[in-house]
Amino acid sequence: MFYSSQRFEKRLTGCKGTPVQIRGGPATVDGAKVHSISHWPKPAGKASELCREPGNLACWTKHFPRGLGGRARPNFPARGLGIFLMQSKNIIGALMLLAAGGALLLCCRESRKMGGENLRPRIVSLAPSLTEIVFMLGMGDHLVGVTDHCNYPSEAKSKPRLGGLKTISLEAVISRNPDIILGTEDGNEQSLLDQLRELHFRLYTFQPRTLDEVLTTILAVSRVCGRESRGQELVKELKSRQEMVSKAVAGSGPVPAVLVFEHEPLILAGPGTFAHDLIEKAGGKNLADDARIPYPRYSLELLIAKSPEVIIDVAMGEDANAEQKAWQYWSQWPDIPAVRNRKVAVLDSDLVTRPGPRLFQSLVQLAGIFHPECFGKGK
Amino acid sequence: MPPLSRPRLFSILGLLTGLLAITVLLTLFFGNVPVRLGFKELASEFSALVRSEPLSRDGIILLRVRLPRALLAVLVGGGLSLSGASFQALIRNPLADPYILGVSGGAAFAAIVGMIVSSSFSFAPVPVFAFGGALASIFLVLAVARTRGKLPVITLLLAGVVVNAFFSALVMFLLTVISGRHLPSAIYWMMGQVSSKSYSTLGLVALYYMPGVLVLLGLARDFNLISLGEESAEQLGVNIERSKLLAFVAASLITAVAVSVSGLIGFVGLMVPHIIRLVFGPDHRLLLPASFLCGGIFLALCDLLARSLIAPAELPVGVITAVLGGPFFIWLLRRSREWISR
Repeated sequence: MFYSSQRFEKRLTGCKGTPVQIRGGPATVDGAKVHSISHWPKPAGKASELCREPGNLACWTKHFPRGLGGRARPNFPARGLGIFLMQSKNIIGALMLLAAGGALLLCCRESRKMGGENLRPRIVSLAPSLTEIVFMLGMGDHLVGVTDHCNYPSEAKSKPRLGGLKTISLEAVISRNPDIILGTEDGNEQSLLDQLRELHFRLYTFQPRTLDEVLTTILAVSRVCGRESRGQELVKELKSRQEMVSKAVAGSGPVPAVLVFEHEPLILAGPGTFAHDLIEKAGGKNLADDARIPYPRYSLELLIAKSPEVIIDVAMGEDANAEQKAWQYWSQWPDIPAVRNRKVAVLDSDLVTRPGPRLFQSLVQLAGIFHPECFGKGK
Repeated sequence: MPPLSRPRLFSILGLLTGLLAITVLLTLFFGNVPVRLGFKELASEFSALVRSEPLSRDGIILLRVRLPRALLAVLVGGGLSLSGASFQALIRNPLADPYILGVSGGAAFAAIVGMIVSSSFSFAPVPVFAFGGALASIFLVLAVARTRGKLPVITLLLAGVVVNAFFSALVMFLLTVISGRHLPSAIYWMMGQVSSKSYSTLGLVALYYMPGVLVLLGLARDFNLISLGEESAEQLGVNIERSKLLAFVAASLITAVAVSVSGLIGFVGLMVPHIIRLVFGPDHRLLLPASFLCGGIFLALCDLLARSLIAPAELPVGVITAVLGGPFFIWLLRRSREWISR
């Protein structure tokens, strides 16, 4: 009944591999700017509202993978067919017509069923940082899929796994019937994101590059999840933490420091990383900022010659012996002031590399290590 | 090329040893930190190092950062070149090196397993695992390739390629399922690197090398006869299967130790022996020790480049050897095309 040949044309050309921008376009939150955040006519509009508008193409394309494969007709093996439809270049027209028509009908059923507001969106997160943000927004219950690396908070570990950051399975994502997919431009495989966009999922991608952009990301995520007020509260709280730190360390000079990811080869945090941003904001001076590479293999002799007063040794994963290992390595170089004064701190890598709310926690922690006098504590 | 006489052998080896010493000195005085240290101070710092007394800052940079690194480069480059020269002689194929025949693949796989099972990243378990993997793969290759009590070159190469592919697949599997904590170190290790190890580690490497190097140098005459063709060698009194077996085990040992301390550094074992052969002739009594010395010089210089090109950051040394080695390999391939297609 909503069918029109023109719409079908669009679908057809789309299938032939010509990129047809049916709606808004890719959603990217790049830095502070939120470009065309959605494929939808209204950025954070509710799917159900859109579906009630006759002639809105978004309606059936959006529900295509869901309507066919989902609850409506569990035995109909059309989920695979749906993918086939989107990707295959030599498609039999009749089959397509049939499937598209079926999808349309199903969609109409679904749209009637979903009359009201979608209060329980099914969210899939494709990055550990986004998982953390979703939990922080109090939306953890809505998460229906996470990556293998999502280990914080501990509830995230019991969520269905979709694969590693770069090895997420498209089928696994589709099988979760997501309403909202959150991903990252750098972290996720571009082909996966493209496929999800082609399948007209509501995919939002984020790529914060500084501490301030993390705050923007949190706001944007809260907006797409319909929890804007909670997001604003959270951002306000994190901002106040940041201000507290910057006030506390304002009086004292920057402490020369390095943040070390690997010993052999020696990998440091260079400029353009969150770790660098954290060091500088916590009242330190990153000695590796001359490297011009985000994670440089750094010259050991130069590190020794630059005499860092604090060494932040980052341990990958949950490693019980991390401190012992770090000390075993650094005690080889007792002339480094940080080693002489035992100012070698071990930090979980997740705390300094994940662009999530916990960065602000490590900001406070680092400030305490750099300037124990300002915080009335320290080692 | 004049025939190899004793004075010629010793004069060439002496010359190369001198060059090696100059190279090590050169790498000692190039770096990101300017060091103002005369030879007299250097000597006193050196004696402090021997007595394990505290060094000055410049002393630390010269003798504990740069020197061990240069020595490790010499050991690794020399070992890979020596085993490369031996493999080329054994298989009588100019494209052979430790990376063909599955030796490095097996060593790499086992070394990564060693990294995972040993909770600490100390040196000890990794070379043992790597040697085990190298030996296992070489015996697998030999078992597959052996036909009617002989080791035909073609089946040997094919078996090597297959075994290497198999172990590469296992390495990729491990890199995919490995937990986050091990992944970066395993990947960096695969890229190949030379770092400042402690002197005890260097001593351990030299110790592991010793039997392999002695066996290979002792087999130089057999290699000369084998290069005439296996039948001729057998008629001339070489116990060919025994020599081959010994040589394979010895070369695998050296490759495994080199791989375990520095990861996968390609092309050294291929290029250096060929250059030596072109310059000094094919006699293995000279070729083998000269390969060791020149391999050391080559890798030490490559490492100097690796740490100075984008200073203060560093490149993996495998990048330099591969960038230099790739074009060389193509040249070699074009040159020996007829030989291979035969």
